[in-house]
Amino acid sequence: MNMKIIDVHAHQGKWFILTEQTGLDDILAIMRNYEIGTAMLSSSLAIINDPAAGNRELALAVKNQPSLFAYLMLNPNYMDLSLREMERYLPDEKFVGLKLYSEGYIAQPLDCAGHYRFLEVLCEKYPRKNVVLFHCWHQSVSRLIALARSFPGVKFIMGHMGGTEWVEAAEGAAKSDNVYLEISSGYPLRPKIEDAVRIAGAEKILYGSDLPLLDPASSLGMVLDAEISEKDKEKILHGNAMNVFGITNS
Amino acid sequence: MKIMDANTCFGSWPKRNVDVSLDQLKRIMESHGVDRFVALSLKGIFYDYEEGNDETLRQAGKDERLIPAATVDLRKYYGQGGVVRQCLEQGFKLIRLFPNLQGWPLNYAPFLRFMDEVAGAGMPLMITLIVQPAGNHCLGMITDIARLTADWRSPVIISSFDHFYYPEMLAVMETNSNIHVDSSLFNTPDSYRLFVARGHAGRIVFGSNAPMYYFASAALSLEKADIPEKQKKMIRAENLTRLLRL
Repeated sequence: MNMKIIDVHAHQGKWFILTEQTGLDDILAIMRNYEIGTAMLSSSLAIINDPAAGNRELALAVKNQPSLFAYLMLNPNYMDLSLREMERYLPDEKFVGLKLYSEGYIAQPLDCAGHYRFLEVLCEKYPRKNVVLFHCWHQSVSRLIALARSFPGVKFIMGHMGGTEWVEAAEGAAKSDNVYLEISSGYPLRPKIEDAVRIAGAEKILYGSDLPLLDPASSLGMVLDAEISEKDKEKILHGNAMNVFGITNS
Repeated sequence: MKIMDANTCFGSWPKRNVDVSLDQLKRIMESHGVDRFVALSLKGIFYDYEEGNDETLRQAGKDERLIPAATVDLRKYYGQGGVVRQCLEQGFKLIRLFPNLQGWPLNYAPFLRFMDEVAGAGMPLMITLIVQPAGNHCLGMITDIARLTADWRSPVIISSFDHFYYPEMLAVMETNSNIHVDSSLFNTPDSYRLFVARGHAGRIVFGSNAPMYYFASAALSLEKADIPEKQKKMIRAENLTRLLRL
C-alpha cells in the first residue's frame, strides 16, 4: 500500500500499565515504524485523572506537529469546566472533535445527560468540529446507536468497535448514517474485519491503534490479514478518515 | 527465516461464528511461511480431552508440520495417575491447560494433583490465561503458578496474557528460571523490549493464537519490535525447538 495510514484513535501521555514508550518522541517514532502519517490523539491524563491538565498538555504537544491532531476530552462529572474547555479549545484548528468515555473511567453511562449537553453545544457552536470518538464496549453499543439518532449532524466513531460485541456494533452502524466503527483492540479476534465489512460496509470502518497504550501491530495486522479487497483495506487505513475529518492532504 | 508457532488450535469454537477448522489453520500457517506449529484440537477443551487428544495425534500423523499438544480437562480429573506419562508415550510434546476457559481456579485440588503428575514426568506445560477476553483480569494467577512450579526443572509456558499481566510476569521471571512466555498477546509497542531488556529473550516463544486471532497481528509485532535480529531469531523458532526438544 503506497499511502500513509491515518490513525483516528491514539493517545498522548502515560497509562496505568507497564509501558515505557509514552513521550511525544516515542509516539512519533511508533508512527514512523508503522507508516502512520496522521494521528488523532486524546490525553490519557484527561481521561483517567485530570481533564483540564490533560487537555492543556495535549494542546501543547500537538501545537507544532503537522502529523498530530487532538480530540478534546470532556468529563460530564465536571460540566462547567467541560463547557469552558469547549470554548477554549474547539476554535483551535488542531482540535478536530471530542473524545468521550463511559462506564468505568467516569462512572457515567454513555448516554448520560452531560454527554447530551456536550453534543447540543457542539452542534450549536462548533458544527465544523462535529466528530466524536466514544470509547465503546459491550453494553454501550446500543446506547451509542440511540444517541446517534438524536444528533444526525454529528459523526460518531465507535471506539474499539464495541469490543467483543462487534457484530452488534456493525449492525448498528449499518442502520445509522452517522456511525463509524473504529477497530483498535489488543485482542485481534478473527473475523472482526470481515464481519464489519460484510455487515456495515468498508466505508464505515476506520483504522485506530490506541497507541501508545497498544501496539499498532494488533489492529494493523487485523486489516492486513482480513480476507477483503485491497481497495477496502485502503479505505479503512486511509480514505475513510480523509472523508470523515475532511482532510485534503495526507 | 524459520518460524514456529507455539500457540494454535483447530476444530470448532462454540462461543461465536469463526472458521477455526484445521484447513483454515493450515492455510494461515502456509500463507505466513510458518514451518511448524504446535496445535491441539478444541474438542479436547470443550468436549472430551481423550477424544480431542486422539484427534490431535491423528492429524499430527498426517502432517509433520503439526506438533501435537495434549490437553487434560481438569473438570474430569481427580488424580487418576498415569495421564501425563501416557501423553508422553503417545508422542505429545506439550500439555496445555485452560483454567479460565473451563472455569476452574488454580486453588483447585484436581489442578494441584495434576501439577504433581506433570512435575514427576518432566513434561513441558503451557497454561493459557486469555483466549477470548471476558470480564476482569485474574491478576495473581501467574504468581500462584510460579509458586507451585518453583522447584520444577521442566519448562512452564504462560500463554495469552496481555499487558495487564506484565509486571507480575516479569516479577516471577526474575525468580523462577523455568517460567517462559508466549507472545500472542504482546500488545504494547514495547512488549518485546521490556522482556528482552531484562534478559528474557531465551524465554519467549512466538505464538499467534491462530486461527482464533489474526496471525499478522502477532507477526507484525515481532517484526517491528525494537530488539536485535539475533533475539528475534531465537523467539521465532530457536527457543521453542529447545524447550520441546524437537
